[in-house]
Amino acid sequence: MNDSDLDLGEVVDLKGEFASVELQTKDACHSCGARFVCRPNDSGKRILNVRNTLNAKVGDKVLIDQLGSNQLKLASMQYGLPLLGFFISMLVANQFISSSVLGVPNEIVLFIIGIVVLLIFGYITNIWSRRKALKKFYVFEMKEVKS
Amino acid sequence: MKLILIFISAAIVNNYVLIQFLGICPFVGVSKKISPSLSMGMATTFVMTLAASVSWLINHYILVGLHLEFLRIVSFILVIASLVQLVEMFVRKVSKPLYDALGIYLPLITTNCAILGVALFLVIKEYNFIESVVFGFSAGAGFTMAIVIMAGIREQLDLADVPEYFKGAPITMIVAGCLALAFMGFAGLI
Repeated sequence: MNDSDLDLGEVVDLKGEFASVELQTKDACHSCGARFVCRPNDSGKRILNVRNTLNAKVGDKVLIDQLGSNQLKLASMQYGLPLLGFFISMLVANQFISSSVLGVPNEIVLFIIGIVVLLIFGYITNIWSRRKALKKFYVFEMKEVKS
Repeated sequence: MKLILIFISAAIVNNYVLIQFLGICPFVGVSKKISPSLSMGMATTFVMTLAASVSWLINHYILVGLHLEFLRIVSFILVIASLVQLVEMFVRKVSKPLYDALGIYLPLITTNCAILGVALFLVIKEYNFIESVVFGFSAGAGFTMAIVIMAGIREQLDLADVPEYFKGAPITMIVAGCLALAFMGFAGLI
């Protein structure tokens, strides 16, 4: 992996074993259509809390890498499982609900069932992510201190 | 059987990225490595499926019911943007670690024209509700497939001896063109 695959950031704060790293805006952001809706935090800067494994100090430039396997697990939990729950629950419910229920059209009933299942999976994901956070499950890691 | 045909049609034969050339920006921008591209694909499929179901309901019960079909594009854009912001707020509220890691994908999806394409196509094709949901899911699956294939090839290209002038955007465009040609071979399958 070369350095262009890594994100460069500056350590702005230290909190115990964690460092708050402000990521530098890349050139692509200036031409991105999503820059008006992309609000990483309230100040408009993207701050990451990363384990300070390299003993970086405030003001140091650091290279940040993403742990691909952990990111994939998180994406599966955040989007994959709730989506499958939403999709499959509606397909299954469609086999049993073919007409309106209590005057409510069957499409709206199916949608409500899908959303309820989606929220249940979201709740499970929430519990899972908290447990993983307690077990020090990280997506970002410091690779190198530049200065 | 019709649902299976919709799946094959939307995911492979009429692949949104490689055949209809929608959603090219994330296809090129987030296809450097397989893991982020798969994450992006999952997030896009998630939003596409939800957007397809909500758009169908809005179109069928409000726009058609009130004879406001001329507001279709505006209302779909509003629905998609609201939906993405709602999901983003929900993820930020209930799961901060996940939001920190993956929240950046959601705003990017707002500007993905493939999502609007799904919402508009399901009206043109006159699908019913379940068919629309399957169509949205299949289009997302096709998008994920295209972006992951592209990422796999680009990871291999990092190890290849590519001439200096072809490095970066040129070789990416050539690979995308070859992939599109390959997918055109599926034309006529359904």
